[in-house]
Amino acid sequence: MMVVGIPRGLLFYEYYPLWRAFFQALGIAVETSGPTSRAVLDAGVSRAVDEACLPVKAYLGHCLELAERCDALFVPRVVSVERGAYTCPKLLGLPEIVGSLRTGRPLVTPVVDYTRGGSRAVDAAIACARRLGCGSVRAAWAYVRARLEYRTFTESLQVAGGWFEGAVAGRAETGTADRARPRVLVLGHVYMVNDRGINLGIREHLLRLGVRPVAPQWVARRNWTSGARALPKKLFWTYEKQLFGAAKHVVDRGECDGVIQITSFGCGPDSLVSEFVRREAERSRVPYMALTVDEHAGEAGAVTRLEAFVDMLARRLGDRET
Amino acid sequence: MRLTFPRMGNSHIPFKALFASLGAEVVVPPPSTRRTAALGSRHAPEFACFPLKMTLGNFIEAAELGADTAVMAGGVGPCRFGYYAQVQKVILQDLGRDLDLVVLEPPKLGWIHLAHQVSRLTGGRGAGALLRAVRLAWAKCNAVDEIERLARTSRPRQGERGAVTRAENAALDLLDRAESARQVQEALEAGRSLIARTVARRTAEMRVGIVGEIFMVLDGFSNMDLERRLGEMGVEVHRFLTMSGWVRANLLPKRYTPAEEREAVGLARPYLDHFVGGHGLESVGGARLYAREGLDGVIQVMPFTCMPEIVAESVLRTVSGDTGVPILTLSFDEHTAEAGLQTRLEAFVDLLRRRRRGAAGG
Ligand code: SF4
Ligand code: SF4
Repeated sequence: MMVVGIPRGLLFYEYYPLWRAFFQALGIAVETSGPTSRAVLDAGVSRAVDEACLPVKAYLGHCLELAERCDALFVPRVVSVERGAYTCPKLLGLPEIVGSLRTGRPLVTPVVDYTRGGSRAVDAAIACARRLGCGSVRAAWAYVRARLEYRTFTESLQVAGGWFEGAVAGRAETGTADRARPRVLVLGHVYMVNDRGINLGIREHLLRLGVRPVAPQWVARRNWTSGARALPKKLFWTYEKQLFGAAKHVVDRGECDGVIQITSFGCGPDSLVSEFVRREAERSRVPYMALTVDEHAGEAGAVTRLEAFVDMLARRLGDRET
Repeated sequence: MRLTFPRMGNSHIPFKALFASLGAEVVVPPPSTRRTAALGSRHAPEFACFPLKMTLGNFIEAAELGADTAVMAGGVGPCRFGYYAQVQKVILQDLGRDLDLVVLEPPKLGWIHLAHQVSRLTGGRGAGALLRAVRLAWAKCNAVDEIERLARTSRPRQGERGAVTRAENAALDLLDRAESARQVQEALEAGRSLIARTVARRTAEMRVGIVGEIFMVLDGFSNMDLERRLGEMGVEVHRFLTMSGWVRANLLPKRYTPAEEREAVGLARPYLDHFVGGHGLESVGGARLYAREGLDGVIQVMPFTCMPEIVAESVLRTVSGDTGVPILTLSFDEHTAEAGLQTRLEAFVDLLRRRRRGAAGG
């Protein structure tokens, strides 16, 4: 049986449940790479262009690791997920970036492009299935089924306040009703927030420090959309719009005591949008910290900064109560 | 109204002509220097791309000279450029600079529209004046490109070091002073002969093509005078990215896009099958184009962490392997050291020279 490999990186953290369900419904076996390890990271770094961002480097590492265990690599070209906006230039060119690795495995690269509206994902799904030898009708059916499953996943993220691993496994998160303070919004792309191999384990460290981490992905679409209206001009990157809008929503409603924005060195969209997030936080007098990581980032240094930030938050809360 | 605009290479010459002939009081931002870069980097987001920092520096320096309105282009993605103005606006506000940024968003970006808006701002001068202003600016734009091209091809053949650069500067100055399309033609002719007089050899030792992100390619300060450096090493420099080419490709119907640029986009396809913003496709296809034309090497120029160029760079390795043409990638920001750049260029030119000898001997 044919095995499709899905690298554990980038939009994996957004869409893996959808992709997995789709291939399963088609009767195609799915293999994923393991968690981001030092070895995966090193392999990616050694083959990537120096100035690429860490998530792209890690992604290449995953492709290299996975290539040995699959017949084809699934590397979608997600150009756009909504009308009039894009994802990120690097995701537009992702299949070619991966192609430069010459892994010897063919790439399956459906194009998802909503820039002009329409329902492009189903087209992409059908094209992808046909490429793998399945018929169109079966593909459409598989896609509809996968969408249903995907909804369960997004709901368990949003309604119950879960994180990627739990939601994928269908586990109910514990401690969602947790009243622990301070609460910190961990603001970042899904692959930054959820991949502990590249985020220096920020969430675990916060939990250890008694902080309740809050994910931007918990904010419902209509809420982040309206939050994003505060930007001076319509933003043409969907995920950045989501980040800003979610931050605005959470900060405005006083649902967090601090914001930590975790970005990769070399992330283009973050480099500009973080400017607006910081201002928004300052305006609402919510402490803000930017944590920029790259392949040389040491966990120890980050932990020191986290501790100082959390101390400060705790002091502020204490002051307010007395 | 005291109007200003960002600098990019010699684009201030046509811009100044356009706005001044519409009756605006123009404040040309001072030529970019280390101070411009330092001001821009100090106030811009740390990881913003270099062109944002440089143009912010231009705005600050123009405001110091009394400019109160700045014209800036917008965009709709997928790259950062479309959000530059919004970021720069809030920064200028924070700095307490009274500089009003007028952002021209596509599709309303055309020169005619631009001129129209400016003429409204300056009290309306009628269609005739508008047309004359656009015609003068366009003539200057093309003439500047031509002078730059002559300088690129003549410098490696100059009799005396620095002669072409002196002639080029004199020619640009003449163009800047021209007050009618006719005078532009005269200035261009004069410039041509000034440059021609510096030439002492028939052929250059080698030829290199430059591709990359357009601001960095066109802006001599930002790329540390890359073309002059190469020329002085005996290299004839080719590039299809020009100011007038940009106008044709972006503000006019598709059929006016320069042929080489269109060809480059086509040649990119087997290696990069989708646009990635900026000039990513042009960089990939341009390298193939120059390889096909038999150039000795290709240099990709970009600001540090430029997204489309990073995609292009990933692919250019394969292009270099397939075509056998060496490709050097140079990225610049406010920390780039001149000595390091010079060393890398010399090593690259050395490599090209050895390959030539090898080819001739074998
Ligand atoms: S959004 Fe940022 S981190 Fe993500 S791929 Fe683009 S540059 Fe990299
Ligand atoms: S093309 Fe490069 S320089 Fe231009 S906005 Fe994009 S990242 Fe910045």
